[in-house]
Amino acid sequence: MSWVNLENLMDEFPADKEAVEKLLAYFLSMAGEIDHPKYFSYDRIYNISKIQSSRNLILILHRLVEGGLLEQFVRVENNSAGIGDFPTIDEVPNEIYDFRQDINITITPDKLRLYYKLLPRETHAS
Amino acid sequence: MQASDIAQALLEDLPAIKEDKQLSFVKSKISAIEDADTKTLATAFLLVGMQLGGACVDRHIVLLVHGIRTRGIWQDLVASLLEKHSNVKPVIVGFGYFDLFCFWFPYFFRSTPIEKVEREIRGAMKDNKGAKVSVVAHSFGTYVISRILLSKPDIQLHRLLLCGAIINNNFSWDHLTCFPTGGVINDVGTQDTLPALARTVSWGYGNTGTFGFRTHRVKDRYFNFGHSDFFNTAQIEKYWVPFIVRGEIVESEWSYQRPTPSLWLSVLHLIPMKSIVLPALISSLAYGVYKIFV
Repeated sequence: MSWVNLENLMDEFPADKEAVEKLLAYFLSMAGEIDHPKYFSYDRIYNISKIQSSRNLILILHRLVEGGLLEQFVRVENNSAGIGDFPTIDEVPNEIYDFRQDINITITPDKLRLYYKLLPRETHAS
Repeated sequence: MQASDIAQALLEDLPAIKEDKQLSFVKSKISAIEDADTKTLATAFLLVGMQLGGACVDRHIVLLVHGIRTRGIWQDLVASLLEKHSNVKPVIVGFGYFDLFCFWFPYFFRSTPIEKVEREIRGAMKDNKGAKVSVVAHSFGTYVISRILLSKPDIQLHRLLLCGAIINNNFSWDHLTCFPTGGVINDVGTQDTLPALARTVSWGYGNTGTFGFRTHRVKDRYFNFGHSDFFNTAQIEKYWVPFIVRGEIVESEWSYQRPTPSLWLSVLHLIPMKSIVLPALISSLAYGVYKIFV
């Protein structure tokens, strides 16, 4: 992801400029430290970022996905535990095996959570 | 349609779908989106919206601003219909009873309601940081909003719905630095004579509620209505709620079927009533004073 894009991002969300800057610093610093992808729920990013507008946060994260810093995916959760990750909602099956409970469960939309994968810095497009 | 609007529509449809069919429904709607970026974004809005209890976008504050000689009973009806949408919070704004003289007289009185409504908008923005703010305004309320848009460029509205508008025909929509991001609809009543009269008898008003703005920046939508005929449940649910909640413009058939306006209504503003009423009033007062003391 180029720095120019990051600057554009701050210009695009002037009301959240400071929070965007901090969030980016957090992600970029962590991306430099990790060897394997790190997973963040939307809720966790919301708490880290302090960006009050969920709409703005979604749009900011989308820009980071476009820039290659993050990857968005859908996690199926049952009783607050993740039991399957899927790149898009289309690929989520109607039923899934919950290995923790040893049962098949029917997936309903309320079991889907929004997640982002932070990639190690060397894997980012320059 | 924007990704957030797609997600919002999905969230609103979801409760009516049987639980075991909901995922298939969601998947079919999301996979029907052709653009990959929009699909990713709509998924994000949808999933966050479900966590937030049905609102995929931020809170949407809708201020309802009434006209003159009314306490705006319609505001309660519109509020009750908007409240059904989880992310929408209607706010009823009143500026008290505004009589005909205050309406007519061009100085002193108009600033009070403008300041009151501006305070309400700022208060709503402060209390709901990050929320979008839209306005539904009727009659004199449309004039009030137009003055605020013109003089307070830091107030950014999302959507603006006008009815019974008396905003000046030459209002500079093009020059607004804070033009509502989600657009402006002007619901015109072709039987509404009050805006035409307002333009004729006083200063600063227009007959835009009778004839429309006829500009590319504002969508004029015509109905076979008088000044306050817009306020019924069917009308609000069919035409107002889709625009305010989703930005969807439902066309009115009357826009294409309406007859040519009557000649007298069209030329009413040419009659120099302003130049007659004010001198007449001053002359009457002077005569009254003269009769008392002489």
